[in-house]
Amino acid sequence: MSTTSSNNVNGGIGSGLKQRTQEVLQNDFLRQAVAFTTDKLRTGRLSAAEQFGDWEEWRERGRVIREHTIAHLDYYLGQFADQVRSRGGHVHFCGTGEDAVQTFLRIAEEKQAKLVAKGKSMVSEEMHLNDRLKERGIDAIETDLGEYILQLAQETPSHLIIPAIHKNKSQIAELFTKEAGKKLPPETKELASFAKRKLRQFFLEAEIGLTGCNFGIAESGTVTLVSNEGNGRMVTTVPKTHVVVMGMERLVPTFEDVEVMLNLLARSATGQKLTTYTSFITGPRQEGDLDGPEELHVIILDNGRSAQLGDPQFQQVLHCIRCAACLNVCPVYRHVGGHTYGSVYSGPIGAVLTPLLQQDMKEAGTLAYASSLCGACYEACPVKIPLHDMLVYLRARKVKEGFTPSAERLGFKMFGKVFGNVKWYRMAGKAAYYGQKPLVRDGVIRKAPGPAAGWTKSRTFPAIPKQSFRDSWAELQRELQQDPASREAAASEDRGKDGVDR
Amino acid sequence: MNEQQFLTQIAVRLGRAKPLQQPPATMFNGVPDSYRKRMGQLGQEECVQLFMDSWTALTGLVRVAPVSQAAEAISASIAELKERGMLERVVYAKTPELQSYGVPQVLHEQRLVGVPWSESASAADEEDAWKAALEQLGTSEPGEAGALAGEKWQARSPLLRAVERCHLGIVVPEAVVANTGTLAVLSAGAQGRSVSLMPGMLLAVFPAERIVARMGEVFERLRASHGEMASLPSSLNLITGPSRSADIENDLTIGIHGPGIVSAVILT
Repeated sequence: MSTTSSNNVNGGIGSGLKQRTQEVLQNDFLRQAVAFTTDKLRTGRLSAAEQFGDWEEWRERGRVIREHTIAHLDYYLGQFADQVRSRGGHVHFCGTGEDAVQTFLRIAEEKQAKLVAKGKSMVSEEMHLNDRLKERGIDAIETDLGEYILQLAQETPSHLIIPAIHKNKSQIAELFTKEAGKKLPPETKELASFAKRKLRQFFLEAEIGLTGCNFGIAESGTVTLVSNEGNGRMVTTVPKTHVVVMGMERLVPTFEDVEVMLNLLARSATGQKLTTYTSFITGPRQEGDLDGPEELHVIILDNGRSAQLGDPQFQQVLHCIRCAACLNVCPVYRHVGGHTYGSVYSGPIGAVLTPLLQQDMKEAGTLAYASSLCGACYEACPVKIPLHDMLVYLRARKVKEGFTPSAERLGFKMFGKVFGNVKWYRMAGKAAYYGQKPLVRDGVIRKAPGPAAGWTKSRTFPAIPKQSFRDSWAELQRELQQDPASREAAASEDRGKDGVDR
Repeated sequence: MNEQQFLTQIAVRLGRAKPLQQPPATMFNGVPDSYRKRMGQLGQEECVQLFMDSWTALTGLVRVAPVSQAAEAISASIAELKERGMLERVVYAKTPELQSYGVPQVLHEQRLVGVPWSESASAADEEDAWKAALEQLGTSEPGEAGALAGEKWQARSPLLRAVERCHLGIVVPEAVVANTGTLAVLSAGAQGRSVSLMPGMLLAVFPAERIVARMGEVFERLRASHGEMASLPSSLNLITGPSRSADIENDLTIGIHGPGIVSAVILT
């Protein structure tokens, strides 16, 4: 497992999950901020989709384009690389994050770079690139406002689109005050204007601009970048060298296809019709151009992605376009925020992607349990990735690989035995009925023992009735054979007893 | 890992012995047909109206004028921008089209320092002339970030450093998208990437025929004009409103790194 730059990840991804959850549940600001922002983004997405019309048709088209591209990734990657080169760019294929780091370091060394201005790039987070550059005395400055705030706070993003979702104005003012060397008020306008002036200096002085890639267009070798702030444009306009780091799955065949994906992405991410800036970068500056990078390098990263290809359960995870719509609807993410996941990617997509990319079911695989399997993520996904199914497959994989606690395994073994045998089942029901007696008050259990204690912490558990459904079945069957009128009468009488509709 | 190994590994996982060499058949081509059809039915006037609605919804300013009165319209739009913030120095694309609309004269009349995006403007003597013009206006201080930036920046081209100090950039978009309120700006030669990015304000001037209903039509036009995208300039930007951020407590901030005020002059 790779090291992490974050100081807010306690313990391993899996083994520290519970503790991080406990901690975050005490943090009211964070929970409110995450709930507020995710609500806003979700509402924006729904109204943008509604306004646009035929949303399901768009989703299906998006899914089909992604499915086709991934199913023929060997062809499209080859085509993309050839096109980048034919336009004067350099392409580097890297199997692991470490390969990609080494490749970047070679370029930085050749350019004698001391300062790298970074646009938003989740892949570079995957590579833990900033730390590695720091070791070599190279400063990498995050220029997305949210990412810049987090860099000053020495934290990692907790949301794909709004990375500093968990920070409030006072905290940001404190960070900026330290950086400015003078007191800054907790006012959005003043804080933003400080960041703007400060970051512009970095844009002007950086030798290398580093970006991710939202979509690579195979037919022309074009790198597509979206940003609302314009930092993505700055780092691809001023520095003399532009380095792109991209996940190998981030392709579409043609410009026509990117129209579909851009419409889906902006609406799903923020509810905008289109992100403010969509930059199509095709090679370095050309003869006669007076600005733009002189050199363009594209680093294409595998880092666990190819292992998903050909796997019927998980290949579709590579369809993801990183819009974060699944985070915004997830009841779990909403309560715990991004850092609780302890990994670069959070929310439902993070819970699936992290164990797959790291190929680690023991620690990272635990994230599959950080979900309620409600399926809201699938409903929100603009390319229809069945994340809720994948979460179940991952849980199964974790069991199969033997990484679940032995008590749990024993429990489920017994469960299987009891439920697989009528006699055992009946006996267990009786035993439970008599066994619960000391715990039942007024027909409910308020404080259950052992693993059931978690349930009764915030809810009551209904007592097991003396007569089970199986016991009543013979009588019910007789009732069913009666005429409908008397059955209705019997039912209403039954309702009248305790006022509860059964 | 080299390219061949990388691609072969992918091919093998996908059930092929070696990477696919022939383009695979596709069952789709871009956007859903119903959308293509619906947007295709919009006439020129409807597109102009739709663009204006989308653009103003993004806080964009807009003015429509006959092409014979282009200079007057540009002048009026610049006057409007002057009320919004400091405006003394202007960088503009040095294209014949913008010249024909009379941009240099308008700037002169408005007593603005005009920086044409051209090779000659980056020559040292041009910079001296520019400096002299600035002194005349009493604003010879360099841009704040430019002044703070170190010698690496000072060694960059005078043109680039001049743009950093401009308050307004004037561009001619290649096409304009009505339904999203988007300028499609190509950057090459006489129109640099910086022109529509570095100054705090942006003015786009274009004939109404450039407005198309949806993004895909921009690509159709570019396919026709740039050899099926083979000769596409290195930079195409779709600009949809002012630079913005919601990264501080979800509070919308306008004008982070790119222009915070955007304006359009549509010529009919």
